[in-house]
Amino acid sequence: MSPLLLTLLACDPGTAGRYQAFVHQGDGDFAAEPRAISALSDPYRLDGELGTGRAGGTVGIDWSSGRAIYDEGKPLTVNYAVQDDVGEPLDMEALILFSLYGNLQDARDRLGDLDIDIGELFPMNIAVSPALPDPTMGAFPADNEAYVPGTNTMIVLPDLTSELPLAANTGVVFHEFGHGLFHYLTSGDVYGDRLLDLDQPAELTDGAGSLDEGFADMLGTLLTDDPAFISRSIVLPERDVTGDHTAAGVEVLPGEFTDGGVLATYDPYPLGTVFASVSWDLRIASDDPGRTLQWDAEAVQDWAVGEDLTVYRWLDALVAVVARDSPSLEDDLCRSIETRFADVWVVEQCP
Amino acid sequence: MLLLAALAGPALATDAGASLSLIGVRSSSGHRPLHRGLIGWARFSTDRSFDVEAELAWGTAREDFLDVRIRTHLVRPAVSLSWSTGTRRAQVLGSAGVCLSLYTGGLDTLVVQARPGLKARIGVDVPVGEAWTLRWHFGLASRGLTADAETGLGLGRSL
Repeated sequence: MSPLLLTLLACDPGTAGRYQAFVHQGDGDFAAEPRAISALSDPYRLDGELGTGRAGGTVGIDWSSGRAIYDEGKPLTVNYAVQDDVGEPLDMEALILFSLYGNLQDARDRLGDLDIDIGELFPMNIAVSPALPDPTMGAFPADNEAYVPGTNTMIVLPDLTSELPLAANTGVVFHEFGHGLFHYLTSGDVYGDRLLDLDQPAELTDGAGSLDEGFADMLGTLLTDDPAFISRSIVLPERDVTGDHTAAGVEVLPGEFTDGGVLATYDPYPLGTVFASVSWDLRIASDDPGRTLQWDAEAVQDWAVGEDLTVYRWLDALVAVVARDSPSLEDDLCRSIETRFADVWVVEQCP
Repeated sequence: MLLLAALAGPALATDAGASLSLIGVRSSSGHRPLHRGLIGWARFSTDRSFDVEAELAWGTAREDFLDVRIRTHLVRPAVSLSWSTGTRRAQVLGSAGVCLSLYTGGLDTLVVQARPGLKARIGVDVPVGEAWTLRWHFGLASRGLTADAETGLGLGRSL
């Protein structure tokens, strides 16, 4: 518990070569250790190439347009000190915020290595504990992480309830960043409208919501190569993409939820997990998680520019991309789709 | 402290006490997680219209994730000028002064962060018997560019 450092008067400790952060160990486990976060130029304000953190503020909805809005809060004052060129968090929130920024840097770097276009997603807004329109989240502020498309805002609610805070969980941050990437790939504009607005048939909007969640899980699983990345924070076996998930086993498919009243909302996760499971099957067949994510992203773009935005058309697009790029994997992919989407969808290109 | 002593002139300790306290220490994102602790004080009467109060606050909190633990401590000595008004049944107190916050935290190393600041407090003293006083207090203290809040309930004794 030493050496001892005494910092007097100075409020902004300045930059460091490395920062203490939760680091993914590759086996699904995490450890707090010093790591480089070169994108963080002003740690005291959590500011740098990837975006700026703000405390509070408001994330809401403009009901006239249906668009999300973000009113930024106050500058952060991250509580840390620099010792031996390492940024030492002085409270757990500082450790979580450094972890988040490091995870965002990893997302940028790994997607850059894969030549996947992320547009102008960076710099993004990082809203720490903003006021939210969802009253349940306000009344029961749990540890959470979310992305708000159209405003390019990453939300962090660092209340301390999880084993590993979601914002410190590399796969979860990749997942949330995946929502931003999905929005960009499908709309072509980080700050633009969604591909499908709420006036579209529920079958399409629900389906797009599921593909959004599924694609986000593809980033989470493939960039960490961990099929159950969320489990270190929350026990959710139903999100483990190695499970026997099938579309026929999904209780409510897109467009089927019609009589739930005004508070009814479609649950996009179950079908999203089936999409992500197909992607994981492809990763196993190809033994190449990076290449698999490239195919997934390309298929999302192809699906979004198609005339028919039925969500299952993404499977058609994925088969077409894989058949063109790596024909030997087409059969494996088709078998996965036939198994997981039996009685729900048939890809015409599959034999 | 020297300035306060000069302002106050000769002083005589009149009462002292301690309270169980909660200190809301401002965190990196602006929350104020509660630190449990103690605040001890001693009041010195002066020949002026105010008293001088010396105080030492300590609070601690612990946060754990996986095998990571951050235990934070806050030690804050303060010297204040204090005023009181009221009846024999209850006295309302007010004080304002300077403080020095010593904040420690960290994972593998112990880092001590020292920040000067200002402190203001209100309180109520209710006599309990001949020599004892029940005290409730609430205060705000700046720590660099941030501010913490504290409250406590304790007993004081006339000296």
